[in-house]
Amino acid sequence: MVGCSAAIAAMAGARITQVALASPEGPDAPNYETVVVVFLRGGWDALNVVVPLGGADRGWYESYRSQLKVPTVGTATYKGALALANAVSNGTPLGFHPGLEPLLELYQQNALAVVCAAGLTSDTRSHFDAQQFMELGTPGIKATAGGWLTRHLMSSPNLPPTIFMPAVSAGSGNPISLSGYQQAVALSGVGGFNYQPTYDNGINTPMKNALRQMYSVNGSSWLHAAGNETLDAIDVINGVAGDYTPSGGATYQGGLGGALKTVAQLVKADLGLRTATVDFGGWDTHENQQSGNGDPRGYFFDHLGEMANAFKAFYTDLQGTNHHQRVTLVLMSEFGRRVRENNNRGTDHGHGNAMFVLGGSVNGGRVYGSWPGLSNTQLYQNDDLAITTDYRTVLAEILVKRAGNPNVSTVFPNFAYPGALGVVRDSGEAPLPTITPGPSPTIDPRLTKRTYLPSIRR
Amino acid sequence: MALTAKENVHKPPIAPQAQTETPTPPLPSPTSTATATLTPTPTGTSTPTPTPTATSTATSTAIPTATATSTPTPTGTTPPTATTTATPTQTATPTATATPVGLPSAPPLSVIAFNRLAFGPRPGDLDAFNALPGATELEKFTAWVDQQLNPGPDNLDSDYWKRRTEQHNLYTLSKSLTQLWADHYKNANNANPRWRPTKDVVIDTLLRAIYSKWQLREVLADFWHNHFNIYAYEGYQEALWVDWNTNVIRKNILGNFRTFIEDVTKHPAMLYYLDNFINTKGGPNENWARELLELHALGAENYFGPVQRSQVPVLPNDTRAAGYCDYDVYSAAALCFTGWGVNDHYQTGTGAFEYTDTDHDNLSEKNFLNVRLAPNQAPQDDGLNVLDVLAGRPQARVRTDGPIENQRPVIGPHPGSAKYICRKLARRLISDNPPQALVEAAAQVFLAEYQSADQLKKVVRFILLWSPTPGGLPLFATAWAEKIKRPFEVAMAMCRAVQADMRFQTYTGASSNNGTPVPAHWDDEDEFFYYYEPMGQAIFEWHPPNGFPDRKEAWKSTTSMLVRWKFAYWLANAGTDANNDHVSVDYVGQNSGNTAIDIADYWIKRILGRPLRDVDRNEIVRFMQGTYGPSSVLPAKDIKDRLKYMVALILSTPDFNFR
Repeated sequence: MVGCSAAIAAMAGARITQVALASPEGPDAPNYETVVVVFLRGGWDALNVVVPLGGADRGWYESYRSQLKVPTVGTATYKGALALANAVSNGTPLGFHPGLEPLLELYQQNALAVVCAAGLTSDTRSHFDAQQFMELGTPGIKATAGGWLTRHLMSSPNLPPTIFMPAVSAGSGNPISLSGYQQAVALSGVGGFNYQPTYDNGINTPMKNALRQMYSVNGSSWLHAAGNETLDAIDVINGVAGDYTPSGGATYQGGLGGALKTVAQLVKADLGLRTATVDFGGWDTHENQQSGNGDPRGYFFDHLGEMANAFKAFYTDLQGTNHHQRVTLVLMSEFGRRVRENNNRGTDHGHGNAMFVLGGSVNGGRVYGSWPGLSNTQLYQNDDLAITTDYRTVLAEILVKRAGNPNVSTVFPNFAYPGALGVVRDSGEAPLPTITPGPSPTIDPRLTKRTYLPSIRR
Repeated sequence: MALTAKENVHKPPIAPQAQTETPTPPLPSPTSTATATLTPTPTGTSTPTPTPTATSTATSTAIPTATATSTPTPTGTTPPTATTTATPTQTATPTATATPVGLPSAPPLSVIAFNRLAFGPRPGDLDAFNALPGATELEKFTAWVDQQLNPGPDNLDSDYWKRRTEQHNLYTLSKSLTQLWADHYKNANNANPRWRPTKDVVIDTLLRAIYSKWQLREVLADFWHNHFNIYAYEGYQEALWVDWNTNVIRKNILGNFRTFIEDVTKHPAMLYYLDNFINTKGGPNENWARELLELHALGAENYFGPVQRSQVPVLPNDTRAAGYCDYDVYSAAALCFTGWGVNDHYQTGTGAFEYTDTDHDNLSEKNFLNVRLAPNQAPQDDGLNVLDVLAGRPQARVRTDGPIENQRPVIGPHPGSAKYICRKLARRLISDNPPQALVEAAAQVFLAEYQSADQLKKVVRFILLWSPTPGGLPLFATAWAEKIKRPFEVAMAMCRAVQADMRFQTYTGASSNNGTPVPAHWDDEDEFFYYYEPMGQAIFEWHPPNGFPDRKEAWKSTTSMLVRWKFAYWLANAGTDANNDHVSVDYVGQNSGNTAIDIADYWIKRILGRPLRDVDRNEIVRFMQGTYGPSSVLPAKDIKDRLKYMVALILSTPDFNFR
């Protein structure tokens, strides 16, 4: 597979319609799937994202998190946890942090699925090791050549011979998951991705031609290859650039919103985008996760809200288009956080986490995975939420059923794929019956309070 | 927290995670479909847009090869026949086995030195290097290194020195920590904003990188700022950045590592950034302890994961554990630093380090890396002992107020720390993946010199002069093109190469209604920042504690390549724009020659220190000649119009970006 070939360079300055015409593929091409990977850097406190709302685990939860617990019922000034349909796992009803309110509707529309207690099984509480393991796709092994997305793109069968832009990172650099993949384009935005003004003043065109000659023709080292790819990307992006109006009234805000907007724009440009990666940091919440004891508002609430609004805008932007079914977004983070809060209204590094999957081909509106429980004997090493679903299970399902790549053992060496959870459906599968969201199941606070006390478990 | 009996079950020692790597799964070969459909670049027609006819006549004129110069022609460079050679730019797999074309051989040692131990050569630098005493290149290099490792007072070009002190008005640089706290934290206002000390250090850092004679010191300051990375623009650190920069980082870069790490530990900027200022026995916070072990001292290469202590082997000929596990992080190190905070009391606070014994966990016995720390140590000794176990105890510590165990003799640094620090230094100064033999040898120096006041200076010198073969050339002299210039290095090198006169914006001088000066955000009008910051290495703005990445993989993305070309293009335009108050470059005044060939060769030699390969040189000449021939005398107007862009092209070549 190649990225943009030099022939495409001849299209410099072409408008997007021409690029699309010249493209050997379009939305109807087989296997034209885009997987968007959002990595939440810093360790997502998933226990306060997907929250136990009742049963014994609610009691354990409140005992571990006397300050940071998300209340089951709100007050006049703030909302409590958001109850979810189809979200009872192993007897424990789960709900969303109120900061995720913008996503509630997408969950109810079956567009958003949750995998609870998912994560990196490898033992580490180092941010950098954990991120590296996850992105290489080989827990515990740092010497792996290339990232998991690289191996996916390299091993994916039936990809068309020429893809203008197979992989993009919406940011200034490429993540480890794409390491070793020369065609990965990194860009912060479409608008500024330009070397110089394109008008010909007798200077600009000859300068760019000289760069093209030096990087694309005169050499082939790793640096030449990087320059060549950049010049290709400039030519392709120049064909796309222009004012972009999101569909469906979608409004993108914040850094994550801007990055997802760029992805949506590239998806719609029909450049053959197969993978997009987006980073969203700021989750290493060792202190002041929320502003007050018991009041869920504050930093974490706001940060979740930014994320939720960006996801909603992205989904809305694609919903009414012919790209709706073929774009799947998956969210992960290097680890969850310690079940027991610290005294600074924060949480330290932990283990088990949660994953979200969002898109038009997602069997959403459900919580997947198996809730492992929060009693002190159920915790991982007596400290953390246990992991019941290897994060690779979720990714492999998306690759197999959506991206059409059955080579799981190539993408994730030494991983025994247990089979699909059913989070997404392939093109032959019918959507799950839509569930008319009835009134949200209400949790009787008296009932749950009675079972709160961990001592009852004796 | 106490280990349960179950957790104490003895298990055989295991190796740290870094060594448990199983054989590398190979990258899959591209599918046959993909391989079969590669689109080769048509030979000879690869220029995307047809060359204007006006130039096609000119390009048909043969360009004579570069005239011989005193600079040795690089050996091993592929002959300039690249246009007929297949290039892997058409190859799908990143693991192409063909020898890459265009990877330059090592340039003269002076050029390597100024590209890896400095922010690129300024005009005259290479000549000065070659005029140093010594019969061989290596002797001159040794002399240069010794000069750089013993920096004198700042000796900036007097003109720029004047600007630095007067025009830039970096008035916070002389303030003490107490003054900074009082003026910029406690009583911060429009005249003395919180961000001012950080901004002053940013400008100071830029000016030094561009103009200071003591370039190696600047390279090392950048290294250590990243090793002990702090995001500057928040909390206490923003107001105290001057003190962090001067009295922690710059004070210690050629000094003693144990002293260095204690200064780091006790500085309010770090105490705030990694949360130790709120680490108390009532509410332990492990953030600092974990990063101290993982990033500052032992490194993740010595992390055994969340295993039991008994599973971690003990160092040979030592009682210390070979590496750390989670027990060491939160059951020992975190507790040992409880109570290490900042005197930030409301109204009476001074911003200084403050140890609060009542916040310290005095009662529990700690065991850090297999070193027992009895309860009720003398004040601060728990934490100091942790630093000793990691970085050595150069002097015996004798207490009369602690338990008997607290009569502690000298110990050397942990060998894991020594190797980790040396590996990072070698990665910065030589290549992305320095050989293990170098790391081991340098670590021996680190260990042997742990009581020396100039331990780090000796380690750096050893790394720079180490040779894989006794009596042979240093690795430093042969390693080349394994690294890429990062944005900070590439931007500074461009400014140095063209002798840019930089006047960073520091103050608007605007006044509010009552006459009080109103400072503006610096970046508002200074385009330097507008073009520099998107390069991804905004100074002191890396958020996570691991510092800006040092390997080339992080800096050769499409965005990273594009922004460096854009910066060169900006420097050409802005430097000659009379309306730009912040940067000026006199391209024409520095020029030599009046034909395209002479002009190109002059600037190539001056910037790169040696000739370019002919295929690349041809592009530079062809651009410069415009509609004229390569050897035609160019009209002055053409030189004026094209020279600056030709220089930008040289600054955009692959050769300029290698380190």
